[in-house]
Amino acid sequence: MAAEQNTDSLSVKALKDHTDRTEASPSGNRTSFRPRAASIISESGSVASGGPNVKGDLRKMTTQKMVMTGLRKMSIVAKDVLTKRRMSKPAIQLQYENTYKMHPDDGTKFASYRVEEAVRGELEKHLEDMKYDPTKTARLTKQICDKILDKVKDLNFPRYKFVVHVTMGQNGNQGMVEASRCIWDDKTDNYACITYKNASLFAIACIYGMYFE
Amino acid sequence: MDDLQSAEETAFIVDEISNIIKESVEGVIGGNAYQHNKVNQWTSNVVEQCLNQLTKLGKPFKYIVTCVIMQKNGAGLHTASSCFWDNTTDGEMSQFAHFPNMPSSAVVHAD
Repeated sequence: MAAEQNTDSLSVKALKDHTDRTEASPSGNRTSFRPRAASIISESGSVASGGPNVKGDLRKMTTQKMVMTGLRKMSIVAKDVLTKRRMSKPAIQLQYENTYKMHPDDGTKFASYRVEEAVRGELEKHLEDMKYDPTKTARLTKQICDKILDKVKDLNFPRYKFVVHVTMGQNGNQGMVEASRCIWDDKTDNYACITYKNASLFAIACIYGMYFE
Repeated sequence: MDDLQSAEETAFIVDEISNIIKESVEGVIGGNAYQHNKVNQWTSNVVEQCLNQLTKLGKPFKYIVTCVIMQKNGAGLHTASSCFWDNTTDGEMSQFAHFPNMPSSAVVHAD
């Protein structure tokens, strides 16, 4: 509504400017307001000329009540100026409406087997020749965690949130148990768990995928 | 839906969660030494107790609880977690407990 009012006031202003000019110039024909249009464009600093581009913008714009058919070209240019001025202002923060989508679409559900395959390959690639080193393994764990997260994001599960949990340790014949339990929606959420072991270290990667309704 | 609930109810309060994890771990394991035949049950119990307490908080969150119990052997252990979620509404808390013969850690993710 406000937008319409703004445009209307601008087109009214354009009409007034035009009438002022036509009163000044004796001829008052259509071609007289072309130079005025050019000056409006230069004020706003935009590069668009009053040619085919303007017509394209008109199609995108909402229909406005034109003041007079004779002044159509003037009001189109005036609207162009308005949109160009709006673009230079900082973007308004978008608030998304609720989509009421409670389940993922067919084929986009979190598929454990796909994640497992992808992550197992990733783990083997990075850890094949690694030896456990106390100073480096801390950083390596974080790096692997980030890489796995990127890989899972690439697998393209829309509207899913992911948690990747990686545990790495020295292979020292000690006993260890890792357990995990979740409260979530069983129909939409799932997990994938991958273990990797070599002579000097072991790694456990758990990836949880939760649907964001 | 978010307007109906106050900000306090939907916030992820780190202190509460930290207490819950501590109590669950200490309650289940106490001062026991590592026993291979019991460890499975300990981890399940820790995780279950954590989850029960978390659901009692009544917050509109999904929870993931992970517990690791390891025998103290001189071997090193590193844990990392990386999450793709909404930073304003979701959170994570982890506690590391050092028992005489068993280091154990529990991590809670909520979103």
